[in-house]
Amino acid sequence: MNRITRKYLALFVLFGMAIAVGGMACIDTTNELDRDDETDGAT
Amino acid sequence: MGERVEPWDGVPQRWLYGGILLLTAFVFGSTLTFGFVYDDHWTLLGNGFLRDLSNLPMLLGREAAASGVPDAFRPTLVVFDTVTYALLGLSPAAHHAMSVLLHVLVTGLVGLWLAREGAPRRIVVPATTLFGVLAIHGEAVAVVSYREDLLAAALGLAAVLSATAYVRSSAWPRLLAAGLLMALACGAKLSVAGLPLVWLAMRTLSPWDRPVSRRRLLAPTAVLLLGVAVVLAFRAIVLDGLDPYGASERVFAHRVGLGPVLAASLQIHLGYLQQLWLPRGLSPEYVDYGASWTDPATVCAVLAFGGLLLVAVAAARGRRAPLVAWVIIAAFILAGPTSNLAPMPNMRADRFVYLSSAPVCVGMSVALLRAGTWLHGRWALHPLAPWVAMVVLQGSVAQGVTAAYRSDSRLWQIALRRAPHSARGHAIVGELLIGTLREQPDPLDRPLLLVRARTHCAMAMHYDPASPLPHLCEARLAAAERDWTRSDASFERALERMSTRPERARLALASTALDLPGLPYDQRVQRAFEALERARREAPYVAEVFAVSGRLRHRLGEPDGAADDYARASDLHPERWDVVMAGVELQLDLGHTAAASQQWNAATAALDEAPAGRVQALQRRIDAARRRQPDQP
Repeated sequence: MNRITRKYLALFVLFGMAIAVGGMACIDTTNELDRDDETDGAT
Repeated sequence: MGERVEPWDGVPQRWLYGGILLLTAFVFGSTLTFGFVYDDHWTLLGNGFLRDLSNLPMLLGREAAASGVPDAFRPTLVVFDTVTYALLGLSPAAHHAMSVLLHVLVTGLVGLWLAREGAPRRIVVPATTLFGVLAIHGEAVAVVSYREDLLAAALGLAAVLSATAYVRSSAWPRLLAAGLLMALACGAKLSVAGLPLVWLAMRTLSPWDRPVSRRRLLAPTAVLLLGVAVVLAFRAIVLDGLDPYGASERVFAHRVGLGPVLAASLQIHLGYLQQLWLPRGLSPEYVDYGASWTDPATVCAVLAFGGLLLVAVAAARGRRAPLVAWVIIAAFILAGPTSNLAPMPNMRADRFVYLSSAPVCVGMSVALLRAGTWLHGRWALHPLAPWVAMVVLQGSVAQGVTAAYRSDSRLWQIALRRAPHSARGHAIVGELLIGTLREQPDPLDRPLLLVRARTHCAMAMHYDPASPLPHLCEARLAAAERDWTRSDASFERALERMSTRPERARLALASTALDLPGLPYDQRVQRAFEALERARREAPYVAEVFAVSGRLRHRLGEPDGAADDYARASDLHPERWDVVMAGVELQLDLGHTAAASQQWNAATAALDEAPAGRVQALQRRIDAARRRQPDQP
């Protein structure tokens, strides 16, 4: 694997890391919805 | 972009796609921990037709469709489901992995097709990456039974790749493969029926390649269209017409007419376009509605799509901007089958945009790269910055969107938040709550669960009394409250409104008939068996029919019939632990301890999924029977 390929793949690894962080933020919103539901149920 | 070196320049082909495909798999990889949801229950789990490969020849005639086999008019899909069941069983992780693999395959084929049509890497890589991580694909990838869209897209793209290969080589096996693959693709789902025209538009406009003579396009176009025609003819024979939904009230156009539905459909497609660019408002559920042609939203949609068509015509004239023309024309053609021109039971769903998003991704990538170049000239931003931002945005939202499909309860709770007026959403949440009641929760929780279920059933009835689902919800609620008369009347009302899968109401009627007050005992029994007989005729491949029949015969003291029914239910759905346990209990009731032990030992795999308390209780019963009858093994 040459330097150009490594650089190209590094771009996709960075994509993966950024998406993982962004995805956690989005999934957290969904989890919050679930917690709201539990609160509705308890009251 | 000129002489600037881009990240993909000089990268070997295998790594070029490897990076994109690994990222695609990563974005949707979380679905491997999800369960079966939505239509998976009746198309995969409860579909006994898939359990036996020898059933497949029935797909070639009318028998499978007449027997209520789900999607019998999509033979490629049913064959695929049968083979995957034979290979993977009912492991949710394995089936989700299959969906992710199919999406990765489709993503690779999109890139390969663009490359074979002569697209440069600065288009292939950004467009394919965007397609792979697009948030609107969340539903199609995360719900196992919606792999029909992925399968159809994969086969359809393979067909157009073969057609392109034929144009270059004139080798007739490629022509043959193109026709065969297109027929198989349409046999998985007709949403890909526009691909031959999209391919023709690509070859005619030739945005990157030199145009070839029209005569050379004639044979592959004809063969691809023949593939579509064969499936249409097959469907006409199997269904006695092209429309699988008939006069069903589930099709909103049958309630309000085609005009309001088409006006709403234009608004919906403008919504899709927005969601492709800015993935907001994606939902597992949308409420069908009709709209006026004078609505401002409809007028905006007409102007937007009319404008796009004018741009396409102007761009296509003299091949002034062939890529712009192809992107618009291809997206319009591919959106055709799900544009509500033909009757559909759901007017809108994220999965409907699966394939039509491919040309849109090409257009988006070109626009984002142009925007990047423009921004680079004004501010010191990297020219790829807008594309990078879009990939991260789409991928992040895709992960968030797919999380909604983890389980049925989560899915429908989120569906109700997104579509609070959905009768289907309220009815299903109501039924899920009633299901929780059946699992014998803490007695203190029971009144609260009942109130919540009652509220959802009432809201479902308020929003759509013409649908069978609110009546089913009401009937099951009444059964949970042991109000058999009200339950029976509601099941009858649900049955009157059902155009598909009537066995749901018939089985419930059979189950509750024996407890109906005010009827002599023999009439109650007769009523139960009449409902069962009809359910057997209408749904001979549904395990639940035989499970209910077995329970009734068991209760009425018909052990031979009950044992046969339990055995048939187990054949159709071997993973159902409740049927296995009922069969064992039947043998214990008959004093056949040896037979009970044998069945118990043979079913250890199915019992792994059963609640531990019930398994232990039955195990104690078997042990007690063995102690009483030590002469039996």
